[in-house]
Amino acid sequence: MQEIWLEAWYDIVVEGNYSARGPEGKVDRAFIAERLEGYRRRIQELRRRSETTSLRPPEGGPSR
Amino acid sequence: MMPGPARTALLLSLLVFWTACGADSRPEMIVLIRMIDQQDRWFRQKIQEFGRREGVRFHVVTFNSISDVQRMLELDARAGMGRVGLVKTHKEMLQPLVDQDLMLPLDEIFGPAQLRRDLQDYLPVAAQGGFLGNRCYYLPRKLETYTLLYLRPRLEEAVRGWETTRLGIERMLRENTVDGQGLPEGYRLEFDPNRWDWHDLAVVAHYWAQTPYGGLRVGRMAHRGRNYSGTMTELATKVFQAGGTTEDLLEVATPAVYDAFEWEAFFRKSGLYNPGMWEQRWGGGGLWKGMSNGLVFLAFMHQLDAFFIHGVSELDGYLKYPEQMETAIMPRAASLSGEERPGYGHYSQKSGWWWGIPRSTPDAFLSYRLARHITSDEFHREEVRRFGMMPVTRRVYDDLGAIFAAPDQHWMRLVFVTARRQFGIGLDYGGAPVGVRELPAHAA
Repeated sequence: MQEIWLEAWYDIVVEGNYSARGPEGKVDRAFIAERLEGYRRRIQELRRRSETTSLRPPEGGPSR
Repeated sequence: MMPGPARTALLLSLLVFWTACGADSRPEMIVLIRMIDQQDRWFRQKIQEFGRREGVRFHVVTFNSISDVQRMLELDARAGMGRVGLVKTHKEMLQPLVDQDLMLPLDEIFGPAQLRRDLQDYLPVAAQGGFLGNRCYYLPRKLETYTLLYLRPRLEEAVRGWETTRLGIERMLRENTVDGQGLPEGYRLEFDPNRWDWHDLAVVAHYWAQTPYGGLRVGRMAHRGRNYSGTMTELATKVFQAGGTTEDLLEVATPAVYDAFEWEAFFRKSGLYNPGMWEQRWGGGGLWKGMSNGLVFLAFMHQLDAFFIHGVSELDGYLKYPEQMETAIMPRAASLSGEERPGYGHYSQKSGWWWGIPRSTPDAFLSYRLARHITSDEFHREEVRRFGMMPVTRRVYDDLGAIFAAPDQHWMRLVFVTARRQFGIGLDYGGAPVGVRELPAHAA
């Protein structure tokens, strides 16, 4: 999961691929959402393959 | 990560070491740890003192990677040796070790009633971390969370001078983003960074980027950019600040994640981040050096980072004027479009280390007594004082003022005051929630 997230950050933020939609190269929330979709699918696939709790947060614990 | 053959060689050498540990008639136990050198030496000495009192030979073995622990325990159990009695376990490994049935539920040792009594000694936020599936497998060792770390004189310059660069940041907010609306109406930069949000970060970072320091105009705000868990944590904290949770990190297509990426892209495009983040792939050490050579004025750091940057008695720091270093809670999210979404807050990420007892321990009672001894008030207080650990026991936590009472230790106390606020145990700020959230277990 971490690798996918870091790849997304590098692609969208560092490489500036948020700007591909227009010539002005503005940061575009809608386009970021589109770019993230591919990464979302990869993480969902990873979650489907992971039958264990390895991608889940810990549960339980005493109340405060 | 260590290559496969090297790792195998390491584990084999440990196996040889373990099997060779039989010359003394005293009972033996291995304690697996990973610590900085000075702390490692101190810890070994203290463990031997405990061993002499208990009539036990303790062997302290250091692991390189937090994920090595699983293979070491499997090896120990599979070979039927059962020598490892206590393991310093990073938050990322708490769940995987339990999933593999390698760890002993602590209520099986002295019973649930005794465990409940013992857990009262620890901060609830720390004790909670040791529970998995409603059973307690770990005792707390230390907590850590990212907070804002900055150089006070540079921040004051920005607070005094930002109005001179206001038009520039307004223009950037409008022209570098499709939805950007500029600064909020009636905006003013808060003097207290504990009250900041992402607009405030943009304003000070823009002032610094436009002001020549050492003849150089460059972004002076930074976070980790190396391909490792520290960068994942940086991104996660931004999602949390935008109201996201662990589930947002897994779902990805959520408003909190979009907020985080939108602002990250804006900071990057506007030259507000120092490019060393990605060009040199800075990890924590890169940021320390960036602060040392004047390239970084503001970053997001753990409490231990603060100790390394500032320096302590046995350790030189990275700053020419360490008294300039200060900390604040994390900033709150903001909306570039002006459409603020619910849930924004001063959130960070909860991490830390816990002590776990392997199922294959040679003596569960001794393991537990050892874990309790090294988290006792006396032991814990000394370790906190010497090595800047965020305390996990109630009494030491409440005693931080006395532990760092000396005038030259005042800064240490303030680092923990900030951490306490960040954990939500201390004061709230600006009506927005403060606190920490969980990363998915084993996010790596």
